[in-house]
Amino acid sequence: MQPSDASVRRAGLAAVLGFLLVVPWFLGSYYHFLLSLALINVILATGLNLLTGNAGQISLCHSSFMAIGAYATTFLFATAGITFWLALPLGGAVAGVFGVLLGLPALRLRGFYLAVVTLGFLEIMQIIIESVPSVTGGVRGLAVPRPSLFGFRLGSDLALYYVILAVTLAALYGAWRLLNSPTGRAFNVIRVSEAAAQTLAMPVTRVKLIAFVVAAPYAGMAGGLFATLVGFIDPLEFGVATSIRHVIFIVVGGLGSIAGSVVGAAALTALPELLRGFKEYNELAYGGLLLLVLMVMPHGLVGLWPALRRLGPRVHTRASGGNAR
Amino acid sequence: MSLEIGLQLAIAGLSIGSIYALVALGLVLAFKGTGVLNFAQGELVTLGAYIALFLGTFAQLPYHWAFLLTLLSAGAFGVVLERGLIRPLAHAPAFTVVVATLAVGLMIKNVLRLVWQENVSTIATPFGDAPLAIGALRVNPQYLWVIGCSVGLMAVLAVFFRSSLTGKAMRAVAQNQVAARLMGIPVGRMFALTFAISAVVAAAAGVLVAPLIGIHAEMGGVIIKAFVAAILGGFHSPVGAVVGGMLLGVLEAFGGAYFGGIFKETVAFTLLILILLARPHGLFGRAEARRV
Repeated sequence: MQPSDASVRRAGLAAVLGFLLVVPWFLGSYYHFLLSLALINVILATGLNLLTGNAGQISLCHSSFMAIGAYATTFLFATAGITFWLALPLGGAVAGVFGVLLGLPALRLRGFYLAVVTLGFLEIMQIIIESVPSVTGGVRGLAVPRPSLFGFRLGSDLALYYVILAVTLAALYGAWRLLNSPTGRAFNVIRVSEAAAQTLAMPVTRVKLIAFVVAAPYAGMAGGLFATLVGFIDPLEFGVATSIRHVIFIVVGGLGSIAGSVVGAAALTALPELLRGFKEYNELAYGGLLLLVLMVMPHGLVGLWPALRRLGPRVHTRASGGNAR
Repeated sequence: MSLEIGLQLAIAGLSIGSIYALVALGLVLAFKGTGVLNFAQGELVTLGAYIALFLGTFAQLPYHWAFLLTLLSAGAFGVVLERGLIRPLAHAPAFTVVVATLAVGLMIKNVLRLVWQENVSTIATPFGDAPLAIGALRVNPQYLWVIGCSVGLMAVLAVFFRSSLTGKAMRAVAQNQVAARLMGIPVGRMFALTFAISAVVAAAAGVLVAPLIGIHAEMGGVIIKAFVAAILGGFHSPVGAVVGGMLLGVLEAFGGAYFGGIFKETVAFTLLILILLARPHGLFGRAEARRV
């Protein structure tokens, strides 16, 4: 019997999960750091992809949500003395509140006009970070202490890696559940046609707001984990260049697809490391590779999957190809 | 604030505003004409400045010849960009094209950085740095040159689009590609021409801004301001892009003077958000009728 699509997918998922659970034991600290970074980017890209790829709302301020999460988590944990396991989700919640603040004016705008307002949000956030140095450390940045778990200090990068892996899996599961819920399906309808959504009695305004409120905590949690991993918050990291990099993650991976967020974020986190050998040419090579991928695969890396399936042994499936984006 | 200082601020604001306006105009022309948001526009500015630098220092050309030759080569580069990048991606999703232009911008920036390293260079202009005294006003002649050149270029473009047959053909393509093609307009050639003009405008901005901010690999960052200016004006309106650019420049100049350096941009962005909340399609944009 030939393997069906679903069983191939399940086997693939199990293989990836097994790799992520077992292999890091045998790797050095540098790889723990790199894998953690990739997972953090996966969390972030997943949230952004829900907002942009599914609900169709452009955001150029995801690095700001990341910053909010990073500062909020650090403040709650280091200054207010709340345990890290509560501070991290609370940091995400704070980012969510800012998501509402941004989402409200954004409801009136669409397309590039929305993009520019999110850009304004980012600029204003940068100024706020610089002007409350008592909380944020201002332009000089802020050192972040490592938390402890059940009395063990998460000193090693391996321990922290497993925490990040757990959060990533939870985030991915959440996104998957959301996309298979009525709200998630409404995201896709609104992207394709707001008029159709209205005709189907979907509360367009509320669904758009939900998209912002969901996407922001993803970035906020990613920010909290990032600050903990690096041990330091540098406000310059949360500029527009970072936001644009996040958009590149999901475009290269595949818009509107969870697998796309994972593949795009992981590949583009690894790529600069792989290109280190090019020394001063590495950014040029990065741009060139990016361009090549987009020219060959305009629908992103996951756009490759249906094509590969078509090349492979013929499988009689009922719904092959129909939902390829 | 005295009248003189106010006027001086206005002139400084208008000069940097003309740069924003030119870059925004390039963005809007390309978007209106071909539907592509070109995020390499900032690097086209950088490229223009470096071509002029090369022609001025290595080829020893005088300023005006270097300026003219720069515009010509930028036009040629625009055509290459359209043929090599935009046309092959004609059927790709919009996001893919935007990121592809971003990648091209990244490559241009890094090639320039490899050649010129991190040095900040500048072009010698025939105007010098001595301030010009007009009554009680003291004005940097560079500012007047920037404003004059930009306005001149915009006027030429306005006449071109309004009166020439080619200009009208380009507007027809922007309005309705299928109908334009049926009228015998070579749509592909108009696309290439649109990108050529867009690149020329960007290169002009690069040459003009070089003496004010210096030539370095990161000067393409101006695209963010230009994007904001274009949106402020209404992204479909070239006039709006020009007005938006000038307005943003003046707002920044006065915002900086009143509230200090770091709030310069906050003031501009806060106003931008307020304006967009009142007019979601920019100052000169029209609400598009959406088909159901």
